[in-house]
This record gives sequence, structure tokens and C-alpha cells, in this order.
Amino acid sequence: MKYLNFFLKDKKILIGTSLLIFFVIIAIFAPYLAPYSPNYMGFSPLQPPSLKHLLGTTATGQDVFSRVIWGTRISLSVGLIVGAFTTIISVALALFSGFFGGIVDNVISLIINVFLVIPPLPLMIVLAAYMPNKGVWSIIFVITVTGWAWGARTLRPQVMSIKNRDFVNASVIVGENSFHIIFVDILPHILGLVVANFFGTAMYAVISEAGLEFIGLGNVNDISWGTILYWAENDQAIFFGLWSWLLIPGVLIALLGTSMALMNFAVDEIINPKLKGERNG
Amino acid sequence: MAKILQVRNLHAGYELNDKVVHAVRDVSFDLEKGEFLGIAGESGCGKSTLAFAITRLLRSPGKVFDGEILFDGKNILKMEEEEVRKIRWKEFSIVFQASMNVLNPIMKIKDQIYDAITYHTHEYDERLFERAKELLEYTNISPKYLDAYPHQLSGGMKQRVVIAIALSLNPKLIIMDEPTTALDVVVQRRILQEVDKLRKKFGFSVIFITHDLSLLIEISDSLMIMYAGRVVEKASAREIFSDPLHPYTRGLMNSFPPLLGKRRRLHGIPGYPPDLSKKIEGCAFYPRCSERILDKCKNVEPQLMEIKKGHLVACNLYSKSYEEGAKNGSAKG
Amino acid sequence: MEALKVENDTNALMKIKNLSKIFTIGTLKKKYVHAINNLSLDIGYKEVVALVGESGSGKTTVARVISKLYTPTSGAVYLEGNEVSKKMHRFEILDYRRKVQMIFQDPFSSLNPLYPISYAIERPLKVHKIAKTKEELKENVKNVLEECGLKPAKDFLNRYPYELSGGQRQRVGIARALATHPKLVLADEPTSMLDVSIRLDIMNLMLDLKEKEGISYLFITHDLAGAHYMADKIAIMYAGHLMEIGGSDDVINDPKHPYTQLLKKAAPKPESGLEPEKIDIGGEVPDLTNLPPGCPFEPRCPFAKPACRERLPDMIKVGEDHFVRCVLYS
Repeated sequence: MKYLNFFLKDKKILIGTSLLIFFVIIAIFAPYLAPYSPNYMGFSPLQPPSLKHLLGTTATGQDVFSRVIWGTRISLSVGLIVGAFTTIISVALALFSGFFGGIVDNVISLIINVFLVIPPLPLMIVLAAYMPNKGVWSIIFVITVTGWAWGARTLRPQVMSIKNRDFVNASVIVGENSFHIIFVDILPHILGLVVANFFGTAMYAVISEAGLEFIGLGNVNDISWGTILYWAENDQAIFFGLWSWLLIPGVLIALLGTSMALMNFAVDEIINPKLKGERNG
Repeated sequence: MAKILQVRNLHAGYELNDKVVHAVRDVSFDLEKGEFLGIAGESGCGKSTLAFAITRLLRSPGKVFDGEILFDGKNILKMEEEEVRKIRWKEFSIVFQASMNVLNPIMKIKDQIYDAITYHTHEYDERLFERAKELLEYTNISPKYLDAYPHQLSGGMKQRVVIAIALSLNPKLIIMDEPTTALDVVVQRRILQEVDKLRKKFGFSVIFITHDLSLLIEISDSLMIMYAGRVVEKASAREIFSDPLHPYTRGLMNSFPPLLGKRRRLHGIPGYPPDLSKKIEGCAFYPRCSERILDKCKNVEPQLMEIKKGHLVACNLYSKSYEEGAKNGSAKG
Repeated sequence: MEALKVENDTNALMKIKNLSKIFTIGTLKKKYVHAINNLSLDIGYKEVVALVGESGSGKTTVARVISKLYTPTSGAVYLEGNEVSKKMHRFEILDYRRKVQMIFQDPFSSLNPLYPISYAIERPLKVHKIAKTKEELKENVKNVLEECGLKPAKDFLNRYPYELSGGQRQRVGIARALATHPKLVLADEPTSMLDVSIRLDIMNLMLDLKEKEGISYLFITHDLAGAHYMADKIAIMYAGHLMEIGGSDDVINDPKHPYTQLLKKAAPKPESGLEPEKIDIGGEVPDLTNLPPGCPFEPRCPFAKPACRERLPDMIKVGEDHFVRCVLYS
């Protein structure tokens, strides 16, 4: 496949994918990679980095390094799960809205616009604060609710422009049902955008999750990079000079976000030459 | 008569990732001052590439591989980009296919005309307006459209505006590449009439490129038929109409359902034009030719030769008569 | 809306009666585009009717209404006596679509570029359950592609549209329309985007298929010569109105309506010699949101009378099966 060649040549894709795979491996093999149990509180607290504790220890005597490794699970999975949920919602709504037009389009567009207008961060905070069972799923819910609208907004006009092309009219006249036309005829044309969107939203989710956890709106007993930062701030790591506790989770959040962003750019670039191929064809 | 354009052995094409497309293969022709030359051929025969090459607008991956293009005696291919830019629009201009899309949708018509003029000359404001009005009048557009935006004009009107802009600096040559393809037949006829009228008034030459030979026969002085990147026949329009020599030209002439007269079945030219990225052995038209000489046409690439006075053909069917003629010292190549 | 004085052929495959289509554009300041005005037309069995007009004439809209991409604002379309309406059940619509198919103008955009040629032909066969087994499907696809000149079919099945030439793609489009053995094929300017030397092949193919399969065509075009070549009957449209209709030879050799005469003068006639006819026509195509009450052609008509601005007459018989909508003949 000539795409594989392209894949390997482009630095953005290479770095983005490598980073992503790196984090996925850490998340999956966390139990084997972490030297200690992340919750064990028996070590001497507030230690700076040493050979025994690569990133030092927390105020309650936990090994930071082990916590950071285990934290990868939540940070990564929230990113990917929110990416998946928002993509499904935004693609479905964009497809129905763009294809059916009329009242369906008017209603869905209204909903999209309402969600776009409300500032996401305050809404997230308000929702998260009132969630009954605070935890990973509440955070996933909150970020999904505030994050799906942008994707729908960008996908909808694409669907509308494809809908007007002759081959869609041809399918209608052949007698295809709407389901087939939407998912078999139209959807493949926006797949590139959908994937790019997925990564864009995943990046947004990683950072939002960290943000919400950091201000304590998740379950602070969960282990994620955000909660680690929460405790670091709460227990005044700066004051104690424990840079590793404070800095490393932040760097990892940035790195994971970057890998998603790079994938986003990369997919965008793959789409464009493909579009050119379609136009020349 | 003075020659405004001389093209000599032009080779041009496109360098793509995995292949090189030879769109223009060894094309040579002359254009007299004030002459209307129609260039006809199927899509992919190289005629648009030719137009771009002549105006130095061929951009990567397009490239001129070899040859000379003398515009008013000066070799365009050897000029610096700056030099070409100075004479482009002033000495020669070009109207593209679907040029209506070339108009800036957020600029008023008059501003677009001003743009073209002021880029090359230093006109004063009042004179600009008068000039713009004059140009629109040439193409029969009411001056009230000077203040309009492109979307307020119909396709035919936009195309006429583009033609007006092409005329704005009184060029010596206007090249039109399929300027009427997207337009209706009445509009097409009007535009052709207008261009012809303006040509007679101002004396510029026209190269009119199209795949629709029927349009050209009625208005051209001379016609050049292209196939697979080469010139296969060139003569006055009258000659081509009354005595088409090349089998491809004959095929083309038979491809038009006659408007008048009895309805009868016609046959076009079967087959498809060749792939210009591959080397072509012998005559490029061989696979589709109904009059071919089996061995000769398959292996010998015919050269463009003057078979009758002012009538050139590249076809093996006539090479014998050419040789005989040359022996007798009559027509020369 | 007055009834047509034309005697309807009771054996018509399709009858269009007083069809009008108005589009609304704009949200706050609404404008109404009168795309089709009171059009009545019959298409017989195994008959080619050419609908000739320029941009804005409404001819493409007629095809879209017949193919149920749009619904009529008023008037109706009847296929074999049954009205084609909004309220059709799914199975009625499917039956209609089996009988009425369409060929599109642009061979480049009428095929989905992401799927191979086989997809375009298989879909109608699957949707209408024409082939019962996998073998039957393959056989059917092969037959219809070869019938349309794409021989051997297996060379084309797995290719993608971008690998084919314009003429080949259009043949695929025809094959797709043919797959359901339709009774009527709407051909929307099927040759205008093809090279001149290929147009004849495509038109001949369509004529051959008409004989072989017993298909009728509504051949939409702006090319009068092409219409003459293809059609048994020619209908001329201007600004959404039907202006003249009659046998192909009658309309071409003896055009009655001034607009038809203009079209004839403007058409390239390379066979007639080298003296081009000068046409003396000013004015622009009318604004469909702002049509005058009388004849829409009046502003440009060399024979315009004061009566033309007031009313548009009904179709008037001027010959055997030849009708004109013009004050000059009333």
C-alpha cells in the first residue's frame, strides 16, 4: 500500500504514532512496568527523586513513578473514549442533518449551535460539580457533552456538499434507501475528516480531563495524571521543591496531547492528496 | 504579411512522479498578423498545453522541453520572468476555459478591469472609467454592470467581461482556450460574432482552441487539427471544409449530426486517443484509422508536409504524392 | 391554468400535465424562482422526446421532477396512467424507480469515485432484486456492461472511475440506467461534456438500446442538431415554458416559434458551408424570479406585438402534431 510508504516518510505521523503507541504500551503493561503498587503508602513521604523512587514520593508516602505509570491508563483511555463517543455523536448528527435537510437539519443545527455557544469550561465545571457519582465516567460524560458540537459543525457542510454531487442523486434514483446512501455512499468521503476530528477531540479530552481532575471535580482517589497534579498542588509540592512530582505529569499530558495533535495534522495531510486524486479522476 | 507568432519544434508536457506525459510533440506553425487560427482536437491532444506554453504560463509539473516560440520576433522561452510579465496582457492575452470563475467574487467589475489596466500602464482615474465603459461596450454589456459583482451576471456575461479584460490593453494576440464550452449556443454565437467584429476593428490575431470543430469552420481563417500532441493537418478553413485530407479530420467532419437535411445514421471515430506518457511507434492515429496502410502506418511516423499550396498534412497516405511533387519541383515542405 | 388543446395520446408511457415548479430562495427576503410553468408533454413507448433549451429554460428541472428528486408545486406526472405523487408507498416508489432511470451530464461526478465500476452496476440489481444468486448477479453485470460497449466486461469491473475516460464512464452511467430494464430513461445532456468525436458513439448506443430494449428517452439538450439526430419529437423550452413541440423534422425544417428560429440560426452548421449566419439578438435571458405576465421571450423577440406582453397563449396547432405557443399564430 502506497500509504504505508507515505506513513513512514512523514515525520509528523512517525512521531505522533510512536508517542501514541508508547503511551498505549505503558497503559496496558502498567502492572508490569510500575515498580511498586501505586496506592501503597508505606514509603517515607516527600522524598526527592532517587534510585529507589525515580520521581520521588508523595505527601502520603506513595511512589510517584508508579502512580504516573498507572495514571497513563485513565488519562489515555478518557482521551480515546471521549474521542470515540463525540465522533459517533457528531458524525451521526452531521450525516442526518446534512442529508435530510429541512426540519431535521433546522432542529439539529439549533442544538449544535446551542452547545457551541455555551462556554465549555464553565459548563464542564458546573456539570462536574453536580454529578452524583464523581469519577472517571462522570468526567467522560461531561467532556463528551461539551465536546461533540464542534465536530458536528465542521462535518455538516461537508456532508451537504457531498450530498449535492451527482453520484448521490444517482443512488437515490437507483432506489437505494437513505441508510445505504448515508453510510455507504456519503460517509466514506468524510472519513478522513472524521478521523482527524477524532484526534482533535481526543486531545481536547486529555487536557480537559487533566483540568477537571486538577481542580478536584473528579474522584481524587482515582489515579490519573490530573489527580496526581491535584495532590501535588494540594500538598504544596513546590514548597517542598519536589519538581518531579509537579512537572512530570504535566509534561506527559502535554506529550500525549501533542501526539494526538500530530496525528490530527498527519491525517489532514493524507486527506488532501487524496482529495486531489478525486478531483483529477 | 507580418508574422506575429512563430512556433518551432515545440516539445512540452508534464513531469509527474512516475511518468512523463508528452502533451505537445514537435509542433511548428506560424500565425499572421490579424489572422484567426482555430486549433481543434480532442481533450488530451495537447492543445491547452500548447496555449499555456505560448503564454509562458506552464507551471510545474508542466514544462517546455524543447523548441522556440517567437512572438513578434522575440523568443518568449528565453525571456526572464519579469520581461514576460511586462508584455503579458499588453502584447498578448489569454482567455481560459470557464474564465467566468476567474473573476474575483468580491470585487466590482469595474475594479477588476482597472486592475488589469493599471498593472501594466499608468492611467488616470477618469480615463480608467471611460476605458472600462468602452470595453464593456465592445462586448455589448450595459455600463450599469460596472458597479456590479460577478455573481449578479450570467455565465455568458461573465465570459464577455473576461474577454473585455483580455482586450483592455489592445494586445496583438488573444489566445482563447475553450472560451465558450460552458455556454449556451445563442450566447456562444454572440460571443463569436463580437470577437470577430472586434478583430476586424482592431486587427489583433486570435488563436481559438476548442474540441468542437463545428464552431471553428465558420469563423476561422485557418484551421489546425491536432492529434496526440502533433499537428496532423493545417490549412485555410475553406480548404479543410471542402477537402479534408487527414482521416482524422474527415472523421471529425463526419462526427457532427447535421442540423439540416435528412436524418441519417453517422459513425464517429471508434476507439480512444493514445496514452501520451507512452512512446508511440508509427502514426498515432493508426489504431483508429479506417484508411490505414497496414505496415507503413504502423511503423512510419508521418511528417507534416505541404501537399497542396497552403495545405499541410501529416499522413502516410500522401507522402508518395509529396515525394513525386518534390521530384517535379512543385510544392515544397 | 387552462387545459391543453392538444389531443393526448392515450397510449402514452408518460404524461406530464400542467406541471409547475417554484423554488423559494432566501430566508428573510424571499424570492420565488419559477423554474417550470404549466408544462404539458407526453412521451410515448419506444419514443425519443428531446427537450431543448438553454440555461435557465427549466429543462433539467423537468428531469429532476420526473425522477422524483423534486416534487411538483402544481400539476402532475403520470406513468402508465398512475400518478407519481408524494404519497407513494415505499414499494410503489421502488417500482417507479425500476421503470424510470437517469443518465447524468457529468461522467466525472455521476460515479462514486471511491467504489469500482462493479459497484455502480450491482447496486440497482441488488436493490430491485433482479439477480437471485451471486452467479446471476455477475452474469447480469457482465451482460449490461458489454451491451454498452465495455468489452470485455472483466477488464472494467475492478477499475475505478478515475481510470476510465469520459466516454467510458458515460457508458457505465448508461449501463447503470439500463440494469433495471427501465421503460423510460431521462438523459440529462448526456453528451455535452464529452469530446465531439465520442458524442456520436454514445448517441448511437442510446439509439441501439432503444431498438433492442424498447426504451423511451427524454433527451435533454441545448444542442439542436443532437436533438434532431436523436429524437422523434422535439420540445422547445424557454424560461420554464414549453414554446413549441412537434415532430423532429417539422420543428427543425419549419420552426414556427421565433425562439426556435433563433436557436436554429445560432447553431453551428458546418455542413452548410462557410457563410456564418449573423444573428441579431440583444437582451439577456430573463430573470426567473421576475417574469413578465405575458410571453417571456417578448423582450428579445423580433416579431413582438403589444398583445405579447399581456398574455401567453395556449398551444396552438400549426401542423400535424406540431404545436406552438405564440400570438403570431392565433
